Amino acid sequence: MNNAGSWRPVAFRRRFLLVLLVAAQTLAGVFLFAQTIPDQASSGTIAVLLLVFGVLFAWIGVGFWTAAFGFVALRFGGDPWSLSSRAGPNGPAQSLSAPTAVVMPICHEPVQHTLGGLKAIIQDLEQQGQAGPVDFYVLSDSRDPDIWLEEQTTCEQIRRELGPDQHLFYRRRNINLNYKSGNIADFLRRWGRRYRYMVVLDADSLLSANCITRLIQLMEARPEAGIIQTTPRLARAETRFARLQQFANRCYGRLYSAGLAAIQLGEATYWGHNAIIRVAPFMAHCGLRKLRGPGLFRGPVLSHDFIEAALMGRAGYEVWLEPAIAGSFEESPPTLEDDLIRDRRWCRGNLQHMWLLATMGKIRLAHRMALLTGILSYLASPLWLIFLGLSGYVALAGPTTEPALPGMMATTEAGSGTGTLLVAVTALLLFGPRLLAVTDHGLARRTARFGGPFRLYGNTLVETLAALALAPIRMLVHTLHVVRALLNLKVGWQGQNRSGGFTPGLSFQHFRPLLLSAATGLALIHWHAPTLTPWALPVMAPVLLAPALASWLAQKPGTDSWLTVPEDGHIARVIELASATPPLRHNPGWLSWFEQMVLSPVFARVSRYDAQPATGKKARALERLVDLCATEGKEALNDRELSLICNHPAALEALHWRAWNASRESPWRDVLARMAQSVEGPPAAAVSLPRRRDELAWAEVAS
Amino acid sequence: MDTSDEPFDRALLYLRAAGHDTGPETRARLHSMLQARGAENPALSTGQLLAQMPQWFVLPGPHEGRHLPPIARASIGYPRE
Repeated sequence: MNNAGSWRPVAFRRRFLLVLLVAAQTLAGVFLFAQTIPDQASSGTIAVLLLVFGVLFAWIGVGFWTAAFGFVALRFGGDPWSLSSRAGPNGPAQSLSAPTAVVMPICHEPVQHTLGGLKAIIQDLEQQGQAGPVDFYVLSDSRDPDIWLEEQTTCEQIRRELGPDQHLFYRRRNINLNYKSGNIADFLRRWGRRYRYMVVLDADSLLSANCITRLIQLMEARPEAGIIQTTPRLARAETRFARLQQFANRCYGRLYSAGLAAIQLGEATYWGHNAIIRVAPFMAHCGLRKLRGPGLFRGPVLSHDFIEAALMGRAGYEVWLEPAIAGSFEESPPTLEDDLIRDRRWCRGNLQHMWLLATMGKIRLAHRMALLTGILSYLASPLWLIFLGLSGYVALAGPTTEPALPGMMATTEAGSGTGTLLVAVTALLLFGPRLLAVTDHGLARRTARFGGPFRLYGNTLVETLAALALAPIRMLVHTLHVVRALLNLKVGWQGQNRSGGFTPGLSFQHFRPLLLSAATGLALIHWHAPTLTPWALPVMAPVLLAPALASWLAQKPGTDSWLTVPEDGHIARVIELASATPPLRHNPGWLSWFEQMVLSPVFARVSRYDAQPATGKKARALERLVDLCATEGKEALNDRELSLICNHPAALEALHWRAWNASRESPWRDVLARMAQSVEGPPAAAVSLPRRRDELAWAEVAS
Repeated sequence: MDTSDEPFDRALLYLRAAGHDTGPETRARLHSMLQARGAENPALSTGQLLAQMPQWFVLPGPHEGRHLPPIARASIGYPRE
């Protein structure tokens, strides 16, 4: 690849233009806004209001201008400075010989769905004849034995199905240090030296064979590249909420990602998955120490990806965002609640970056800006809330008996035109990217893939209305997240729900604090300043309707063509493979995975494995656990203790024989009875017994 | 299937769980094996009898355990802040 470092002047010019545009637009906006503020308001309040407005107006401006950059780049056939453009089309397949690990860190995910996706990736690579230099690792942090045993079993099953040539490995950490980044670091310490590249997946990632090979080829062609990030498309959306997200991602997302890539060039960020990493520099420079600050800023780095990109940049390597690489997919959270729960984790992680921004030296300016953007993406919500509150307060200071919000409707005749202009400009900044995206699809003759032009316009309108309704909910919830994070109130870091399943009752419970806050706020506004009630309603009404809205969004739409995206008509092969039968076809529903493991005649006589036999105190402790489990059942032990037994072959075998020797009083007798039902089949047709020897018997499933 | 404490029923269940056939021949063989062992040592528990099953029947081999590549130890570089 030519012109090794010459993208930097281009990046500088583009960023300078962006700053110029955002600054000019913000100054104009602040000027217009200042005209609409009543003179009677105190100068201190006005100064704060103008400052908050300026930050928020610049914030939405960055989004608009990024999309505008993307629009221009796409209209000119893609960015000539991107890696993909400079490397040319896919090279010959036989050039792939670089040892590569595809790693999937997981923690309490829906096992069949997650590993079904991984199996599809392996199958796709195999069908393309590209699986040779690639090894696959499932890196589990799951602690519940009924989940990790299923993970282990399913991996074993996939290995068996795909044949001995497939290198699929399952590794579970007993000690879950530092969440996902710790899991990856653990992998690298053990096996990192074996690989030149590492492709990182999320639990819901799907990468086509072409995508993986393209990533490897680009890495080979560009030795300066430390990370290449793809822009995943949302896929496999089923609920209304997920389809809304999928439509937005597919219809407008490409504009943002093209714009972001054009501005960042070789100083892009890493999004944590669906990316390829050059292992050696990553290991040498991107370890993450625990934070040593106060409160929130102490402990493991939660949002590791942006920091790792910044460290890679600091070490002199490039980080590229490549939207032109197709075949990279992920899934949306199925419900609004899940989306907001995920945001709670991300919010905490992004706010931690404030500490890193202050303490880490020699980070490139572009990466500092990316960190700041991540922080602002959550801080923007409390700023909006402050802005609304101050606007209401200032409006009450006006001379008229009918107070009006600054910027929305002016208090003087002369100002009303200014207010209208400001509202129009704000609307353009907010909705302009949508218009640009639809225009781009029209000009590129892609509307047919979205179900035709009218359906595309209609769906864009539906998605926009939904986004408007959800905006106040997100604003209030994100504000709560920010407050909780800054107060350092702990949140869990579990795997997210990827399969839906919220009921209206749960929705109500989930939003109860929000409903109470909104109802109280509205009542206070109405009591103190009833003329402001109509202005507060557009914000408060969606919040008060949040449980109903969330419940409706969590359901599947009546028709498959609701918010059509191109992938509905042309399903990528890897998605098709992932949507086929889950890896475990004979999953006996009568026994938990732990019970299967204990009773399995295959598992009982293990000849394995890497664990040393327990001795001394540990052996005695295990003996006690086995005794407790045999006499009182698995409920007498916690997850860690059950996992400990499963990890020690001798203990497991001892429990196996004691369970099979269960007396009339033993809880294992009931388990044996359930197993007998399972082996014999109906009453319910939950388990179909294998008819051939090569099909899985239930006991083999547990291996 | 009965899961009473009768060694025969328990052993039959064990065979099924192991994926072994449980046709008339197997049952007859199992019956005679259990009777012989019981006659030799009446104090043997069901569990002890079951533990001898792998010697009487061809059951699936021991589980091979997890497959992981050989470890190639390396360290991670932690940047100074």
